[in-house]
Amino acid sequence: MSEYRGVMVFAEQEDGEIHPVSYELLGKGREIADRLGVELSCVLLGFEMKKKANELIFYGADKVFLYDHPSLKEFDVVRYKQNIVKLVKEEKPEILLLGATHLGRSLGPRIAAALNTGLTADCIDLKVDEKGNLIQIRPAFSGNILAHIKTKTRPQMATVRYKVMRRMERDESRKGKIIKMEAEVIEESGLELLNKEKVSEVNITEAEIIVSGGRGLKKPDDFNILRELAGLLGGVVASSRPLVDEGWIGREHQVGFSGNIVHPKLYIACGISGSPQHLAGMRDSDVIVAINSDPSAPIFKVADYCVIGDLYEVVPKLIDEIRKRKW
Amino acid sequence: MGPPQAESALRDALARGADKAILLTDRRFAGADTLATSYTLASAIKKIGDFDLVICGEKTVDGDTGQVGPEVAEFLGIPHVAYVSEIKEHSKNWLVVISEMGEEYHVIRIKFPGLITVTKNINVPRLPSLQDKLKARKSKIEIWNADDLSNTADINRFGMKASPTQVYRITIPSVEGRQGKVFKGMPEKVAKELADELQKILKGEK
Repeated sequence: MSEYRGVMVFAEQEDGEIHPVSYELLGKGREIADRLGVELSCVLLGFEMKKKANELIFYGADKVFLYDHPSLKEFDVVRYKQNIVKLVKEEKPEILLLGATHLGRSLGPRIAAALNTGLTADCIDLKVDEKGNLIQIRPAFSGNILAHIKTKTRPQMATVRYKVMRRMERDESRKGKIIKMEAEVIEESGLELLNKEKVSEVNITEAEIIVSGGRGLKKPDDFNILRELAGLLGGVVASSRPLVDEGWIGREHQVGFSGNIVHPKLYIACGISGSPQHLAGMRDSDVIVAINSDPSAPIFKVADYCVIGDLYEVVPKLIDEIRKRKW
Repeated sequence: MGPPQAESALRDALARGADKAILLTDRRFAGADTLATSYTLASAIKKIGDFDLVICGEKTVDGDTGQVGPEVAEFLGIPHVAYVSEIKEHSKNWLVVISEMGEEYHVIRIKFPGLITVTKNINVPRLPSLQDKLKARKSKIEIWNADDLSNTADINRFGMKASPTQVYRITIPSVEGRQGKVFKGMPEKVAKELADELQKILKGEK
């Protein structure tokens, strides 16, 4: 096991753009690598990605293994896996991290199975124990408990949730090596990407700002007030479960245990009392603003800003105020 | 794969359209993490032999890892597509599927033999008729244990002892009560104060 050394991060790209989770992984990876006194490397696959590879160094990588080939331009789980597995077998990092994105959660398990090593999904924190083993912390049973997991085999692999780790300050003076790798080209992977389409319907889990309505709303049209506020702030509208069940708004807008779990930068709860099922879906938001006329509403227990008042009075005034300031 | 009582899930599957059901059950399979689980399932699929398509759910509701499908595909050495929400076309040799990849949909042709993991949007499960249910109740379910897989697997790679990941501690997340700053009074005043705070937050000062 001691032959394994170093921390490696898989840098994800889509349409030539590095996914921000990769920078977050480098931030955490840097911290762990420094603690262990080892190198932080990064693997990037794509086509014409040379320039972007530098960014990975500015965000903390000591070394970038770059696979630049037309066959790797688009994500193909078989081709990506093949190249990464080969690299990991040669480089032998003790830790390998991927983002817990759709791509990472499809690719990671294949790499783990090929290497016959353990993989922990969807971690929200990573630590190192006194012996240098990776402690992987992930929510289990719908977030009611946190499981602390260690891996007997090497590399220790984890996918890490987007938007929980901090990236480092971008530093153009950071030095690192870009190592151009010879890509193994698989002509026939069994997979062929025919088309890509942007998801048109709202994906509230990706939203940075959410304005959410609950039973305090009196009729379906009143969501327009919240839509206006959300529009001004560059956010999206969401809802607690009762209004979705009433059919006032689509299920894709539902926040809560049985809906979507969100962690935006800003969550504004309007007329939501805060049932446990709703709180489970939003309490990890960075900043929570609650507007409710009932001072004893449970939502105030998780809020950073507690506005005790009628949403029909406060929200329109807030909209006026924001318009005046022309953000 | 599961304890003997998992048979009832298989009877439900038979009632909803499956022709045959196999239960992998053995104490030696118990306590498996995703790697050992996937290895066991892949070994059973190898034993079944000739197949075109493996369909897995995206993830379980308890473990929530979503890892078993892709790991099974790797152990079988076949391509996979995860997060499939729709099958657009099919032929004798391939499927065209829609894969939900976060902000984009990927439309992918996957050749057989292959594996897909499907999201809950894939369909509405059919309701079994009474006749289907009765037939399912009478059907025989094959039971395979670890020794039954010895031709396609290394039986030392099953269960807890072959599972590299171990939960060594469970904690309850502290539901951090936040010290909320309270605003009340005239709506105009409240709106102004709140707008001040929002402006700071959105400019990244907080």
